[in-house]
Amino acid sequence: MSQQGKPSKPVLADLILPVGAAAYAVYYVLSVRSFPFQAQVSGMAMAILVCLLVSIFLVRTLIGLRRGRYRLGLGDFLGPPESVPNRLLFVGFILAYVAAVPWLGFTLTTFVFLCLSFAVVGVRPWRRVVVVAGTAALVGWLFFIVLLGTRFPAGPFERLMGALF
Amino acid sequence: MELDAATLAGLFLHAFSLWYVIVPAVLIGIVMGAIPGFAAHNTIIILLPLTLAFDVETALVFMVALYCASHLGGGVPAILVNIPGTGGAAATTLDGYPMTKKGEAQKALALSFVASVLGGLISSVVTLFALPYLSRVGYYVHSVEMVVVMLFGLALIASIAAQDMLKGLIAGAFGLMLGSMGADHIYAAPRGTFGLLELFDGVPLVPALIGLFAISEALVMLEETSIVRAEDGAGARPVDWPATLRNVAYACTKWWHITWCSLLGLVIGVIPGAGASIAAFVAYQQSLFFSKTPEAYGRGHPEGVVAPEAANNGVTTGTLVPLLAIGVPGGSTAAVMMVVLQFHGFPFGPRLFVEAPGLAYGVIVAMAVSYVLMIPMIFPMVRYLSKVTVVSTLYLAPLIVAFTLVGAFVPRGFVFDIGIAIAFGLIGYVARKTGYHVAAILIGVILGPLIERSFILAMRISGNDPFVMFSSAIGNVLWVLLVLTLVMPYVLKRLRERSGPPAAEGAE
Amino acid sequence: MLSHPRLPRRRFLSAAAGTALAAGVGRAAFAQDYPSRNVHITVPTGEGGGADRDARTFTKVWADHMKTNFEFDYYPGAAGQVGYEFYMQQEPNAYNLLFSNIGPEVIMLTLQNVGIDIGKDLVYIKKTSTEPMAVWVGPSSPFKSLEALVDEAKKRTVTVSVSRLPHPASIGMLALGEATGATFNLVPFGGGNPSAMAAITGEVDCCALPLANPISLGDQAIVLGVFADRNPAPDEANGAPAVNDAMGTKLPPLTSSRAWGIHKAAIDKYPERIEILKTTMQETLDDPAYAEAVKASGLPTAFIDVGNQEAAMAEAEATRELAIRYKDLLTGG
Repeated sequence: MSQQGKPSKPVLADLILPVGAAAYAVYYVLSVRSFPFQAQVSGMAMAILVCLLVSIFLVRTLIGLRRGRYRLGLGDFLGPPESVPNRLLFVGFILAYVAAVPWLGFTLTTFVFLCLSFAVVGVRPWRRVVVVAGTAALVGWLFFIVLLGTRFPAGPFERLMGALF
Repeated sequence: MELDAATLAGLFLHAFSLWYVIVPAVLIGIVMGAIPGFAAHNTIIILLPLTLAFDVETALVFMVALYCASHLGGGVPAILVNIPGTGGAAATTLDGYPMTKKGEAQKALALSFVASVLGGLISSVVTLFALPYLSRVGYYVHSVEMVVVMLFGLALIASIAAQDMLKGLIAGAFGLMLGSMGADHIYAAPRGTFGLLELFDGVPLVPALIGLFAISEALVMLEETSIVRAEDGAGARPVDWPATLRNVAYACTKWWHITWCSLLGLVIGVIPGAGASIAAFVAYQQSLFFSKTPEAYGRGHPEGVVAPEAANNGVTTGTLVPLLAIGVPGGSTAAVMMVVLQFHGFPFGPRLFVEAPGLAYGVIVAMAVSYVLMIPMIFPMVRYLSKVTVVSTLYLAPLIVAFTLVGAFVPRGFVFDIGIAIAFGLIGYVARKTGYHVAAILIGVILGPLIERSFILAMRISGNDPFVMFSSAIGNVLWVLLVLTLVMPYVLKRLRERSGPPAAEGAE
Repeated sequence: MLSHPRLPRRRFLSAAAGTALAAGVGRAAFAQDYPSRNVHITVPTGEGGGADRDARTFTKVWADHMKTNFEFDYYPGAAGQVGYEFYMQQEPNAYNLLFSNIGPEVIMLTLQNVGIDIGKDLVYIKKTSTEPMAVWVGPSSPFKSLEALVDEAKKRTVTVSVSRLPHPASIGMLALGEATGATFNLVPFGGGNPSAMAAITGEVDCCALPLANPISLGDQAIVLGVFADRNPAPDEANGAPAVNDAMGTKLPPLTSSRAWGIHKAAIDKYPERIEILKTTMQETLDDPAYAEAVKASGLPTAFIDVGNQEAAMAEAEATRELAIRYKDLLTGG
């Protein structure tokens, strides 16, 4: 905590979690305002605790900023800058996975997700990308769906296999 | 049935004769335990059509072996890739993964396996002889005492947040806040759920765990090319049989630590509603409290791996005690076992000991035997599993995401839960990158609803009298111990600073 | 106990293969193919609870008549609301069934304004069993009779563990208190098993649950009274009296029936599938193997109570009226 003598520390990213927590705490309190006491009590207590801790944190940050120990900035938050676009794409693929899985089913979604992700994070040659992704998707299908009977959303591949066997 | 030497020998021999049930079950359990989302209770439900087709003894032995092994398996990804396979292994990440980062994955695995196997073995043998006494624990530990027991687990937030206490507390409080989500225990009124039905039951634990640990870890992982720090890379260390043996032998020197942590896990496991995660957190916290080197925890300290693993395997036999001794399952895995007993027309509780004593004691013996049969499996696993850490993160990160998202889906079968995992993944990423401990958030998410339930029950039973929290002798003793746990480290530190030589204290 | 080691191994393989086939997702278009795949059962309470036990007992025999397998899903949240809402979201194709406990669940639907209308959205097509609510104590309890318990509750507040507030057993205890001037503090433990544990270990004074629960606990539970005109299983429930007989009260009978529920849309769209369901359910209930299975699960066969759709829906309506009558007692802040 004592940063005297060191270059100022970027703290903007450090505020994301506390501010998010406080926002949820406020929403929570609003959502329970008309409920009976026993339904409110613990959540209210937690909300007060969160808001109290976050307030202390904000005061600490403000003092740090005033004294020049902190500065507003993201610092290393996003990791090495050269790979940021690729890693953001990777996050995009993860989000696309949820959107696609109800339609494409487990096996195809996993295959496409792995192909794109391997490609974007830099696995080469392309043949290896497809082979590893394909093997993983098939092993996953065999293990999770055939063997364990997980009721994952079925897509074209699962339907085809279901029709064949 | 009297438990004389001949009967015992007969039970053990019989259990060993069922090796062909135990060995596959153990293998399935280890694999499933290692995949987040597939812990014992889910796997057993998935495999229920299979187990119901067996005769009752085979079915029980199969489930028991799978259950024990899943607790052993849960520690593997916790150590290797910082992803606990089960909630009970969350505490294992605290020191297990730092060991891996230092290039000591093999040693950490050895510690984890030996602690699991010995811990499970010790607690199952103790259960065999002390069942009548253990079953009494439930009569003394009610909602009030549960609140205090779980506060021991919460105290861990303060311990792991030592670097920046305020941030640690914010992370813990945020977790508790998220844990307060969902329908309340009395009126079933949905609180803080954004109107989403999928959140009525509160934050689903497995997706939260997968998000906080696995998804965020995969995102952070991509910033480097290999898990193991370059300067002490795993390649530098020979992975051969002599090294494996040395690591296992080293782990065995922690036998005393394993013993008391597993017994702590056993006692916590006996309490209905408590479970492996509480036991692991409390054991880690107590291990740290009694340690002469508390500052070493969280940076790859062997005891930090041993304590939670011994405890969560101590829990396995403990959870069977209420089912066997009273007839009410103490946890979800025991509940599924009850289904199987009912299905086959067997009673449970004390009547099982009267009507089928061989089965009742046989279950506990089968646990002990499962652990014995796991011993030979330790060696190859220690030797080969650590190789995962040399896989390039370019492959590891996408694979982790793809397969843990499946895990997020499995427990409830909602695509929505995959979304929850991703949301928690982003929370976890932010937390990791800005110095908030994900484990502190998870402790809040896991323990929050459990503490709230016990607290609300205790309050309601007392007619909303807050002093009910100090109304029981056992509870008050626990309160004093809790205060000591929180205060002593500071007092000791001050004493040490004043008198120079470190104050020798504790049970190490 | 094992006759031959090879047997389970072979079964292991065949069951594994069965699971594999079950996962196949080929869809049949023709009704005569029904059921062409596994029937999926939603249980709105937890695994290992009473509903789970009864559903499995039923499907064990039903599988022979339906010629299919069953998959179970448990949604215990918010007093069963979560299970009902998720069931309603499933495809109404007669492959998705709800195993319901009419008493507590209709009360929940009535009190929690869930927006699911029994009759318009969901129909109970077959009643399988009925059991009355019971008040009971653990083996070390000082209360040996219902009178003793009520007397004590006139002097001090007596704590009662219940599964949840919107439940016939909770209504029973509150109505008993109202009729006798006794005070009962209901403590909802969120399920039959934890409620029972609280009574056995002495955390609360007594427990109010469906009668099957104390019966399955054997001598760990001593039944003090049954909320019905008479005790249907006096041998299994230590000869406990009917509450009205013991206390001279006039409480309505508080019972709950297990019943199979299904989407109204499925009834409209696939009447022939519903016929198959109803017929095979009836065959199951008539099958002596079912009575055997009930007995094997530790329950008295007196609980088996076959009822068709009309009977099940009439019970649902009666329960709804009961819930409205006691609404204030159950939702007070």
